[in-house]
Amino acid sequence: MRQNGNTVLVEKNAGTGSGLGNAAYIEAGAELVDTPREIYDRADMVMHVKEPQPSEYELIRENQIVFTYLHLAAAEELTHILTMTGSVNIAYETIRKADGSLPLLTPMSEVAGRMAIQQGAKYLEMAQGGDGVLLGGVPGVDPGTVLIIGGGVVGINAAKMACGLGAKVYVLDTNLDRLRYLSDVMPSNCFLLMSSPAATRDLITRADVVVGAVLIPGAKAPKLVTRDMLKTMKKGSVLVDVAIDQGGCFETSRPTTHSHPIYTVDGIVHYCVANMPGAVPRTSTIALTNATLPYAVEIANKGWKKAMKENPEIKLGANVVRSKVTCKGVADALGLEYVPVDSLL
Amino acid sequence: MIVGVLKEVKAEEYRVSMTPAGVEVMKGNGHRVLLEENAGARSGFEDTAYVNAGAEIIGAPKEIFERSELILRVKEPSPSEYVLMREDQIYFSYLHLAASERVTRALTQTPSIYIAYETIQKADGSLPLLTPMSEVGGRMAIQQGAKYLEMAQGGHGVLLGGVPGVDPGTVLVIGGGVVGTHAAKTACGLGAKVYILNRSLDRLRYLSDVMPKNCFPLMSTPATIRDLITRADVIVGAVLIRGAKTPKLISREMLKTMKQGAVLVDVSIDQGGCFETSHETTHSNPTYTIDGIVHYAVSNMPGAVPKTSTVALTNATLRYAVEIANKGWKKAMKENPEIKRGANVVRGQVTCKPVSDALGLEVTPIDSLL
Repeated sequence: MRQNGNTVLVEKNAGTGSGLGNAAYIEAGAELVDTPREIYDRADMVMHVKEPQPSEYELIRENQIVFTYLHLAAAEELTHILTMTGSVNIAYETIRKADGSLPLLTPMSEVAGRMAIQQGAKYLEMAQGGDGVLLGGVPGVDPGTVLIIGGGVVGINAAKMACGLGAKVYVLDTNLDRLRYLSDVMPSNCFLLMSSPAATRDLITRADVVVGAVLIPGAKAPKLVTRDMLKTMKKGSVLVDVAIDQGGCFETSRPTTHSHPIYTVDGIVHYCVANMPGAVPRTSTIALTNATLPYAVEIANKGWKKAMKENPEIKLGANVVRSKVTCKGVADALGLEYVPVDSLL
Repeated sequence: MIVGVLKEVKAEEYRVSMTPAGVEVMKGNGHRVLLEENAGARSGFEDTAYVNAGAEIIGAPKEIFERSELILRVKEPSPSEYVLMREDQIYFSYLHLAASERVTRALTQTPSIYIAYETIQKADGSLPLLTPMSEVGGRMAIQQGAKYLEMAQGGHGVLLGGVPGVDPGTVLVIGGGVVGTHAAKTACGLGAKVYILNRSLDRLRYLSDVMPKNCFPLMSTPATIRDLITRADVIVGAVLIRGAKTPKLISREMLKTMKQGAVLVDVSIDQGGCFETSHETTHSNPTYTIDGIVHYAVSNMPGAVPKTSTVALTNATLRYAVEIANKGWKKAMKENPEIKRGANVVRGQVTCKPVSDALGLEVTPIDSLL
């Protein structure tokens, strides 16, 4: 950012939880600032990981760029408030490449997918409510079975970890081309199956850990395991619902937190922490900023108008611009008027 | 012979000493098996499975003590059971007497034969009934390390395997035996950078041949340990020096040089632990923090995964149990030196040298009793 000629103000202790002390920021050329107010007062572009909090609403200035995860489709009040500020809100999660991929969601999906297996392994322990199976087994003892529903970024990263532990791993996906690719790159203890209700019904009866890794962009996750189906599962098996941010793909899922991560329904342990990557900030911060930095630099260098004109990926990130909702998904979800951002550039 | 399988009475012990598959083999060898009600339930084996395999289900443990000639269990008898032990009755389980003078003295007051899983030893020096639990403990060590690195658990928030573009975590495994090898394998599978230390160059060469490329086997020296602990996110203590207390390889002083929020997993805690700051914890309160370093030192790690541990353990114990049942203890010990090394307390005499040495008791060579 500095090399590109920009000035960076960092709120004091912003990076400490991620292992990045104030001194390191100063050394890199940042100016430390005591209060968020001063940052909102002075900055042309404000960066966050999560959406602005109520205490910040009144600080956001007209024409100020806010670049962060927003998840407005599920947040009517926040959307309304942002339209009042006249600011330019660019959301990480709707920046999209030409191939349809979501480059600022991918790193967090990778982290969550990988974490899903360490949760499954841990909560299978009997003292944690699980049925007492070691996922990798040991020589002479059958390893555990992991079922991963969805072969996207979350699913493949979960499958990699489960394979690394030595489990028997099933990945279900509805796209045959994706299954062929996974079959080429995954280890031989990973079994790729076409996703169908019948395959899910069959495999959940054998699985020790089931990872819900289904994302249908812009829609709620489908409920692939119903409450009735829990009865057919092994008592003490573990469901990890990585799709919980999109409503979850198990009927019995509800969001939990890192301090109270699990609950049990019909003998089945549910892990549904909504912000999984938050537990490993040293890894997640680097993974996220590896992906956000090029966009942030481009926006800072060009200003939001030019950046959106020249880079369609950034244009798709425009969510609320000068009081207009400029993201169709958000407008549709909330029943608000949609204004194409092109009319504002 | 009448073989009795008792339910475990120790806290957090969910394993069972025989599976239905074992009952079938015992029956095939002409023995009767009595099983305490629900003994296998926590390991996933219901009474009906045992009945189908030919076992007789018994409600009261007392009846098992009264009728059985050979008693199988995972753990030692509880104090209330000492009086139930009968003359020449065989008790075959983990005993760990070297660490408990109280239990040893109590057992010498009974007229029975105590054969300990942990001192059965093969000619090559290996301990076949400790190996399976070391395998489980080693593999579990990494899932503990990964979990307790999470910030909400006290760790410093590193994902062991990293993700593309982010440096993976560093795992230091001290000791390249069974525990260490399995811990290293699991950590490699997660994608971490894994250092494994051992003092045997032959072992290091073997590990170098069989381990994945993200495993770096190094000669164990104090200097190497001092260097690597400053970089490690997870350190697994996997040192076993047979019949001796584990050396303290990381002192309290050295914790200060480590990353705040790193995790120590001391799998050697049963032998006293290999970190100065280790003290035993339980599955219900597994961790504590000293100088910013998370310590996981659960003494009975395999107990948390009984479905796996029971099968792993009984895969190894069954053949010895069958041999003892077929031949009786005297003939079995005469013909199989591995079983003879298992004799710990026989008819009131301590017959295991490491136990008598550790406790300063008189040893009676087992040969004089056969």
